[in-house]
Amino acid sequence: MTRGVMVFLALLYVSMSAVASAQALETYRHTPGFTGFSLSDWQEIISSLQSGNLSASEAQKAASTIGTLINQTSQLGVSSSSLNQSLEALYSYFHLSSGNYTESDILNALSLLNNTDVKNMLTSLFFSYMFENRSVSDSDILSALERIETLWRQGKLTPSDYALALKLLSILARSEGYTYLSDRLDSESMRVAADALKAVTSQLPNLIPPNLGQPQTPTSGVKIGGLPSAAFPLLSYLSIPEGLQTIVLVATVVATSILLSYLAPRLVSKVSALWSPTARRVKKLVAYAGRWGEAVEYYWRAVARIERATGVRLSPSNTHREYYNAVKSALGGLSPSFGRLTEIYEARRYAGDSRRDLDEEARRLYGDLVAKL
Amino acid sequence: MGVRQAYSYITGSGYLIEKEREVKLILAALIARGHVLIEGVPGVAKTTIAKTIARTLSLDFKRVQMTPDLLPMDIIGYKIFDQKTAEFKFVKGPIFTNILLVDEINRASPRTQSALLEAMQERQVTIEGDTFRLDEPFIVLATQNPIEMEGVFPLPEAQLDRFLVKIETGYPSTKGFVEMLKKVDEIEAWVEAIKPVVTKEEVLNEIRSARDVKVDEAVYQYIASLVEETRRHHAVRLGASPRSGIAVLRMAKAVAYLEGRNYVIPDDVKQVLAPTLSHRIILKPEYEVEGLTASRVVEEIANRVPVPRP
Repeated sequence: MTRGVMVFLALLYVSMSAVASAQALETYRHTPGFTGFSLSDWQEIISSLQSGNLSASEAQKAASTIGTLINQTSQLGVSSSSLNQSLEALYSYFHLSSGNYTESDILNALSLLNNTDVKNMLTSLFFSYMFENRSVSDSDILSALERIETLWRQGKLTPSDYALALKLLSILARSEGYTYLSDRLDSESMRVAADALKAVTSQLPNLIPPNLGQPQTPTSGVKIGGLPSAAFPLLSYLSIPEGLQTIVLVATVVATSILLSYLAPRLVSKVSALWSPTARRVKKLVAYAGRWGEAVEYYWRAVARIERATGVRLSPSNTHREYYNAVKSALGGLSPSFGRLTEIYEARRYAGDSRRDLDEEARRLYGDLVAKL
Repeated sequence: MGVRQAYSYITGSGYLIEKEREVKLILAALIARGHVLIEGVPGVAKTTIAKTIARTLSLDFKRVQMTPDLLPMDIIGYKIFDQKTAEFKFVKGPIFTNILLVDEINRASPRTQSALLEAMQERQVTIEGDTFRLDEPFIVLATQNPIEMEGVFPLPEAQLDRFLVKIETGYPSTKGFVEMLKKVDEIEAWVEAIKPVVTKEEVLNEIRSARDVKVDEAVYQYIASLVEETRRHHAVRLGASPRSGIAVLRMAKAVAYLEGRNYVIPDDVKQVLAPTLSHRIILKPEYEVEGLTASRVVEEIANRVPVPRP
């Protein structure tokens, strides 16, 4: 494998990786975690929360969606710890709202509360009720509610914490038979939960598009797998429809390879033509060549010109005839002129032929080369 | 003209297919007063080349097939008692010729090889106190088969040094081979019908003229650098001697002369480098085992040592 191909593959990999990385950051915008149901369902859930009429099935859907969001934000690494805590609290809120919960879910919900005062207060109430079989009076619940509302007004509770705390109090009230209190708490918690969801939306603008009424059509989200994915791990983030991904990838690689294999030699030749080692040394060579007269000087000037024009360099171990043979085909119609100039150089340099007419002939041949190169 | 004319005649005939390089080196060795060792498998036109050159130059040509039981006297000659004159008479061996083709030199016993090589070097033979000068020009074209391993006596390095050049000749390309097959009858007839284009005296004059070919100081330096580089090469156990450098110089001058120049250019040196040095350097065994050859080492050196500038 030539060095050129290796460089090309490396560049291709870097470019594809850059594209894949960009797409990886974009993925959550295109696949916002609404697996199984649409954005309009999500909008419906928020409306129900705002109106205080969230059904058990809607709560179940919301819990499921938030669970997916938690997984996605974790995989993509776009979640902060506060966002994650909010999402966890909301997940717990909707799970409890669905009515399908156990004692351990309640204990888990208590553990998710951030505010220590609220956590201790509610834990104490639930312990009395669950493990000590002591009844909790409505005044105890109202007292706790008062304390929680004070903390909320003081800004010491996040919306998700507040909603979850209200939900827990509502469960406790319902368990003790204070239905009126429970309904009031549920209604309040739903309103706060709607606000909490909006707060999450504001933290993930790309995750949940602001224009909820006109959802973008998400890409199908099929990931590249198989051999391309093994060869280019980052490509697994590329979202191309499954049927096309391999074809597109192979076609891109083949087309780019063909194009580069065609262009690269020409490009290299053009670039190398800009730099002639002999041209760099020509001043020194010419100065030294002066000992042998003009003919030798013209020869070196011609070599520098030809190196730039053809990209073929005169290496230190090349003889002058070897160089002539190397550039003969590239020079085309000019090759006889350069061939003769090489002969004149040899005669002057190695035989000490000092005839004046050789200088004149060399000057004419050099002029011919310069004019036509 | 002369040898140059013969070179143009032979290569221009189109009958010695893909053997231009061999012809050129043999003629250059003749001009440089050296001998040639041709290494190649049987059937690659070694004898045809020798015969063609001999006929073109109107020189005497003899051929000796070496065998293990061949004695020195079979090559250089012997004295026999003539009863009529009651004197010993010298009977010249085949070495008394201008071009001597010694086939399979490595099949002869070391004693016979030594006698031949001494005569080649001294250009004279001494028998029972009488010295006999060999004819001029005199060139030995010795062949050896590189594949033969049994019943042969490989030439020691010191003996190999007696040969100015070693030419490695091989099979023609498919295209050349097909062309040769088409012309096989014509080639034989052409070799038999060759008329000399040069006289022996002209050849001798040219040998003298070739000595006057000019060599620039930079070319002397170039030859010295190339030869010294063989002693520094990592794969070489014994590099080229000063005598090798002299051989390169003589061959380069001869090639320049053959090409119609009275001055040597680096190209002349490069083209004679492998034939003159490859049999004079000894590689380290570990590199030989790996398949590296002296010719390749010389080639590598030629591609590394800078050519005189400007």
